[in-house]
Amino acid sequence: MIRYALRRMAHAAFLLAGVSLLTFLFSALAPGKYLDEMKLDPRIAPETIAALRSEYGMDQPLAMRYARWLKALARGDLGYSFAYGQPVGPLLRVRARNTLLLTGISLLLAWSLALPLGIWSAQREGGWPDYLLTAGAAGLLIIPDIVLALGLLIVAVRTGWLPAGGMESVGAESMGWAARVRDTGLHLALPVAALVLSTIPMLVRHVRAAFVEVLDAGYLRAARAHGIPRGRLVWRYGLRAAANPLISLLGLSVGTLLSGSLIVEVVTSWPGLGPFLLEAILARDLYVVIGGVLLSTVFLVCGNLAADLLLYWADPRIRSQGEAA
Amino acid sequence: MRLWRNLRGWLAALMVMHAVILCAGFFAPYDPVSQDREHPYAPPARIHFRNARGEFHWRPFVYALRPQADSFDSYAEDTTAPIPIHFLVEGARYRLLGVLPWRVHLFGAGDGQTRVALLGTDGYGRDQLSRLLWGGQISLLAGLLATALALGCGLLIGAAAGYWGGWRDEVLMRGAELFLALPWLYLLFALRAFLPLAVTPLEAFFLVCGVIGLVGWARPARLVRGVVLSAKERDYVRAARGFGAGGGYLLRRHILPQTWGVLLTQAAILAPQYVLAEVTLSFLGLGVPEPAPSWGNLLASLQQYSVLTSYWWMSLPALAMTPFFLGYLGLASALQRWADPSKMDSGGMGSNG
Amino acid sequence: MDALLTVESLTVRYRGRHGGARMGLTALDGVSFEVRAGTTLGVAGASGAGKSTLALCLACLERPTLGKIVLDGRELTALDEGRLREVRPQVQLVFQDPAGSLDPQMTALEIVREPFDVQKKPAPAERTARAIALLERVGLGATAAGRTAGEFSGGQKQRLAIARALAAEPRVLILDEPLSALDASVGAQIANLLAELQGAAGLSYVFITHDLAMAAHLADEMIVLDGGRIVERGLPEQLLLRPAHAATRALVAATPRWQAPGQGGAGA
Repeated sequence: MIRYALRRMAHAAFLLAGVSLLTFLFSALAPGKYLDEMKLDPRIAPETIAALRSEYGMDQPLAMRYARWLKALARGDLGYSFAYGQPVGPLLRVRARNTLLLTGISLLLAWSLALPLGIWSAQREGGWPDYLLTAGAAGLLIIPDIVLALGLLIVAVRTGWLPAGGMESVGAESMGWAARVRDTGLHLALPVAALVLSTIPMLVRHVRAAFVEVLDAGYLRAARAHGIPRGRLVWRYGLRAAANPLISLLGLSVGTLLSGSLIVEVVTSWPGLGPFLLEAILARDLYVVIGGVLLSTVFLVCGNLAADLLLYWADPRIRSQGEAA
Repeated sequence: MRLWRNLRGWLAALMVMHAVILCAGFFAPYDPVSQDREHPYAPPARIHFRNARGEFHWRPFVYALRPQADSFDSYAEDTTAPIPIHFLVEGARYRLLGVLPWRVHLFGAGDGQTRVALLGTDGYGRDQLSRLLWGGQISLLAGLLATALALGCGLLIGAAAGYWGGWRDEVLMRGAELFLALPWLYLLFALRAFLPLAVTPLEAFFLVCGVIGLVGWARPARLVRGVVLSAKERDYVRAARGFGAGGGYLLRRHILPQTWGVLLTQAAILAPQYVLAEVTLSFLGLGVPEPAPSWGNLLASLQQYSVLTSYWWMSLPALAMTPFFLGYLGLASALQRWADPSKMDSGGMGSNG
Repeated sequence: MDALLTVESLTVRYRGRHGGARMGLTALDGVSFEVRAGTTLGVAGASGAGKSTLALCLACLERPTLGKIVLDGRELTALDEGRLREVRPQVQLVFQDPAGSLDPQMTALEIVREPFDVQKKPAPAERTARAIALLERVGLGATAAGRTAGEFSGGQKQRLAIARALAAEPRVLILDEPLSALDASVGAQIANLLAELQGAAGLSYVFITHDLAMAAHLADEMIVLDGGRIVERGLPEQLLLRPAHAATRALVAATPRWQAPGQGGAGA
């Protein structure tokens, strides 16, 4: 078990290293030198630019710059935000927390709905409930996530049921603890709904496909003949058998949700990494952009790592392969 | 057989829709950038068949919109002067298919002056229908070009990795894994961020295509590699090697033709994703800039609260995109079933993360 | 007669990973034999004994880990890819599964023409005529030229594969279980065709099979492979009637015995 975990962690570390290199290369090799563009920005004094240039060693060879940057990264120093005049790390922390909150809740909700729906649909394969669900999922699938988010926003605005944006109402600081949670919850409803609705169709499809295959398997039918009740059959045995593709799907859905959260956050004005990143791009705030991309990749890689470890626990075939090492 | 007919149906539907967009100049009554400052945020024109006196006319007509004195965006119909709609009228110049200069439009106002805005106008008085059709050209073309780029890169890299094997394969596939590990949209944004922001619409267009295509090569590459690996081991490929065929010949004659199925299916899956990517980028101001129309640009104004609440017709472009995505989804499903009837629809997994 | 094809200490080892563990597999271990011009060498062995690996190595489609293959004085294993390509046509392989060895989309004519096109000889104008001649030689006839490979029966496919191999003008034909996928009567016809071709063109064969009786019928000399090694060699009748090694005995025991009326005992 430890060996497998270590291997997957080494794999994750390799991915992160690769990503850091990639992002660094993008920023370093991009035409239209970043700092040149910044020179045009009246807010930034020329002395600042010169200082930044020397501090970040812009005149040094690429490898050296990368090494310096990595060392700083190891210290937790993500660089300096030109627009905010502050180190990038703390700025990202708050935003990252908000994005994690949104994505985490959406992930849970999406799976809590997709799993039963997919199983229910697979059990009634070919019947009209299955057909209805598949058609509904296909219908949702067609609608791009921007449109979904905008649509929900319009509904929220027109009906006034839900707050249309932001994370807290005005005067939230003075609310009691329970009231604040409720307030945040209400604000979460819109973005979560948009995210969940955009990912659920794909999830349901794959869960249904996995279960259709599993439920058809000979060993399950034999178990049924033994008299094992249907519910237990599906949830204890079927779920186990379908665990492998489903956990891979879980890993993939983390990625989809993270990407989707970017646009949903912008549309619904949820103060997460998305709007912050966008702002930074438009303001040419280099290190915020790099930091934001890196952070989101860290989340993705961790999510996949967790899925890998979960897979090890759930699928005995992986365990035996790992033991053979 | 049914699968083929199904496939043909989706293909036909898609081609019709694309044809309309392709001939945007003809179907659109006006030039997409021409403004009408006197009629900002005009609601969609109402077509009448029965005039104020109750008489029925075969030819549809509209009434001119008179701006109200007290506000800038409410209008009243001037029922005294019905303006008939003519078909196949001469209007603004445009180039059909980008090449042939022409002037004929599908429909237009009879008096040659009034603008019939079937989908309303935006803040500058630009006709939304025209912008929708012309914007479709840009968004769809961007998506398709990006798809071609991603598939081309994927084919090259995947074939190289699959054919060479060994350490070259390892390196290339690790690289692919890296790209697949990144959250797709974030990577797109990062790439876009490091490239100059203030570019002309044409530069922006190619930039967007390039960025999207470069991010997306990994999945097609993996799939192509799989096909090449299994094709390489086929006996007839071995036999060809046996009588002295070189790598280039083998790839060209025997191996790469096997990748068609995968490439076509991936094309149908990726094209809508990439169109959506362009729309997203333009929506956020990182894609094709004003005044060039793009579906993303059209939706961008909805970020303003006032537009979102007061002018419902500004949301219509969102609906216009949906039939295209439906068409591509149907095509992708049909292609997958046609290429491999035994397998269940495993679907393209949306964005890879 | 001098040996046309000489194999010395041929060894093939695979290194692989299975679930993270490194595994080694020795497919061939120190195999040595000779094939004289115009004769047939029978190679018998059970599944997994290394026969297919041997076939691929002889046709230069796999590189051995150790050992030499010498064809008419030239050491094939020492050649680089470029020079090897010129020599390749001289050793041709006929595969076990005729369906897999032919591209189902190509017509018979295209299949037989392919070696001509790849080797770029003879002149383009002659290629079709030669290909059709070959089709007729193997008993398929000129009318078969336009049909795609998928339309032929098993026996016809194998004939087609032989025709294609002949197009390269080989000196040695490696036949990897060519009759195993066919039924007995069809197989017998192909065997007769092969014998005929050998007589007419002076071809040398390496005939690989698990059917000892079949090999004995066609071979002038035989070797038995087991676990990648040669465990017995000699004349076919000797091996059939007086098998010395356990593996040979197992193969003999597995051979179907035909009893003609009035005849008893073993025999092919």
